[in-house]
Amino acid sequence: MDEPGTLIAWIDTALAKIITDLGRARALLKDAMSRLLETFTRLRDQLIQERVLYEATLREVNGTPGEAGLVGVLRDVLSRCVDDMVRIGASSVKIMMEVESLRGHTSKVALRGQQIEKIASTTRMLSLNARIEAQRIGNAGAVFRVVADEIKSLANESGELSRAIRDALAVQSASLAQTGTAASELAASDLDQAVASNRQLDVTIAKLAEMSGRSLDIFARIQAETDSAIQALQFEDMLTQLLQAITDKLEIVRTACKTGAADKLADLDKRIQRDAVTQHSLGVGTVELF
Amino acid sequence: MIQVTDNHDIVTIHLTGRFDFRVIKDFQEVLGREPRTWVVDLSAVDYVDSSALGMLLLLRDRVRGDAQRVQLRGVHGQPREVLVMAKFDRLFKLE
Repeated sequence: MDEPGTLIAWIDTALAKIITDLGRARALLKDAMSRLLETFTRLRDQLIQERVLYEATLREVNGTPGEAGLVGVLRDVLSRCVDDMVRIGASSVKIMMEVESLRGHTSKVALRGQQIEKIASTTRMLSLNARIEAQRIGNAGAVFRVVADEIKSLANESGELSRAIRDALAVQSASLAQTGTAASELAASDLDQAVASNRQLDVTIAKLAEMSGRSLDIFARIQAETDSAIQALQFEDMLTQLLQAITDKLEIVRTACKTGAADKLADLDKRIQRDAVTQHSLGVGTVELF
Repeated sequence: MIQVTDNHDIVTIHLTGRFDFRVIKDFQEVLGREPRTWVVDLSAVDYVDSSALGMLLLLRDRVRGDAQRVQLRGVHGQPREVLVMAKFDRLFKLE
């Protein structure tokens, strides 16, 4: 390239190639930025939906001022369960106390029965003695013998009746003992499991509150990052305009080379020195439209 | 185990160990008294079951629900957890 014309021709061709490449770069960038913007926008919308769902789930679990959530329902069930256990305990204690009173009465009745049996036994002895005496006095004692026999018969019946009562009382006493045992089993409910469940519920609620607080924080941070990415991608116009400005400036250089208009260089230089985009970062700035 | 201190106006029931169905008979006998104030000393009790709560409710019936007339003293550990969970702190003076 020893001739100036050849150099200018080469520069023109090179500039044309660079301008074409810049055009392709601009198209590719526009496409990539557009896709990224679309993806991030969908991501943000998805995130908002996820957050709405998560918050609805939290409301279902924790409840709202007007409606009990899962936690409230669990507490209510546990509370009712404990109330029932206490009620059963109280009723069973009353039953046990009543049973104890009945057993006391039964013992007293059994004692009376023993006394009746003793009286019957004594009466039998007396009637036997009376019969012997009636026998000894001969015919005159015949009437007394009949009376003595009747008394003996009554004493026997009384003794048998008393024994029957004693047997019935023994059965009743055994039955009362069984009732007392059953009532004591009902009364003696262990409440430790309910206490442990209540404590576990408190721990779970505290963990849930902590986890949901952290999750909401993560949601907020991801949303802020996504918003920031979307905001940055919205500067795509600025970048394509900047690339367009570079292309235009290269066209100016190309024209200057081809025409060799040295007298117009000052004017062309002004156009090249102008900034199409005034900012140097993705903050707020202005775009100068050509 | 139950021990009773009777100062006419105040009957104090001292319980030791487990306050459960095994003391029902003794508790029933104590309920026959008629003091102005009942004190149930639970400072030496480390376990209560539902029958203990039932006995305390009977004691409450005995004073016709007047919470000022029944004091539960020395409530700690498992008995405190059970009593609070059963909302007995609303029915009795817990100390």
